[in-house]
Amino acid sequence: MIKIVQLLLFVFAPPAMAADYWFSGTQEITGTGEILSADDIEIRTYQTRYSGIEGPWTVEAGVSWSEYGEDYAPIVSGEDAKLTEETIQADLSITRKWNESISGTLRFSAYDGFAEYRSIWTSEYYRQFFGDFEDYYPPDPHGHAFGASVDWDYLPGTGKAVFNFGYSRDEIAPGWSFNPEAGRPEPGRENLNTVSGSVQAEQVLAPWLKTGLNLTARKTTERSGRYGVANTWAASAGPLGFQINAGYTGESPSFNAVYASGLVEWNFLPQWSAYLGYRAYQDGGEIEASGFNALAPAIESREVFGGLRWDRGDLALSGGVGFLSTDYEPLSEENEFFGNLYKDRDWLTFRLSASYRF
Amino acid sequence: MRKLFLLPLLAAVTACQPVGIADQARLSRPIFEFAGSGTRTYETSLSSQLETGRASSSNAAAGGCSSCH
Repeated sequence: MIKIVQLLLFVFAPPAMAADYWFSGTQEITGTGEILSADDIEIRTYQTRYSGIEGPWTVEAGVSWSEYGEDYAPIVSGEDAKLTEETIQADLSITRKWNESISGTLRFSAYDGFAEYRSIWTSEYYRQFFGDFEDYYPPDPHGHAFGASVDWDYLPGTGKAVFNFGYSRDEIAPGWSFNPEAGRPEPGRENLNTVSGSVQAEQVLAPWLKTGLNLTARKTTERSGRYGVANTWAASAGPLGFQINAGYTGESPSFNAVYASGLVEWNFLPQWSAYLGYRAYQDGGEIEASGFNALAPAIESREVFGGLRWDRGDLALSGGVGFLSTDYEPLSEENEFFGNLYKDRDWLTFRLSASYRF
Repeated sequence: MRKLFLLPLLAAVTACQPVGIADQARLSRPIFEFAGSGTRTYETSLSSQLETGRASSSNAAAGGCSSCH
């Protein structure tokens, strides 16, 4: 609880004080709630964000709260369990506009709790297996990240490039294994350092057509570099808007992912729009060729999603729902312990967001 | 799929068309924001927990199984 209060004070105190004394430009408050739900797993995230502008400076802060609920079901041994976890994340960024075409941003973020649902499941597996040993201790995942970026409007209003650099450190929930020589269980690696960079370029080609290219690179402790490329196109024709996106990500020795999406938006009234989209994703699996591990096998997923937006200019509301299905390849005999974690599921996604500008 | 290869050709044909101030309103629609957030985005960010190869899963905190490495 103390960590949570410290995070809230750290993130919201500076912009709140600044808002009272020197924010004379546009300010915006946004609240967003998202749900990802299947029969036995549910994730709920609530986020609030604030931004304020004063002259060449923009300050942005956000806090998000995530709740995880999972029905743990072992395959070979162990007992069923209802798992619940909560995670808080906060971030703060400061942007300085140097001239008409260049601005720079510094970012900091921190979180306390599990970053995703799979680690909660595998941690319960290790707790049931090794929890009676004196040497076992429960996980305490948390982390923080720093980032910097430079925005270059090389053709103001029509052409833009963003260069990002980031560093993050994660104290993770480790995997456990029994050391027969020492006669006790021992944890695996308990922290990860990640260095990442990206270049994003956007170009307006015509008053109705725009394209964007995103190149990413990331290096995490004891892993090979992960590289990605994604291309997005958007066009409008009267009340209709269209967007398509495709991308590839690769990491040695064998991780390859491809994905694509398409979206149609219809402005059916001056302040109202509706959208409908479809997206698909496929990767070759994170799992190693042999040996016991908790990595995911190959997955194919697809989602149909749609929603409504109402935008008055200062006040905006949007809501959407999606139907997402995931299809994993079967696990090997060595890794069947996690068969209920990596089973095929039908998910419901839900999103509701509101923003107010003043 | 072959139609996708026509996109660069389309770009070449339409490139360098002037974009005036009046066009900025059309280009400010959310459909033209490739990194939109809040009310100006279309998809939930939570799907990155399943699809770890997406570009949006760009940091360890946002995706990937931290105990699975």
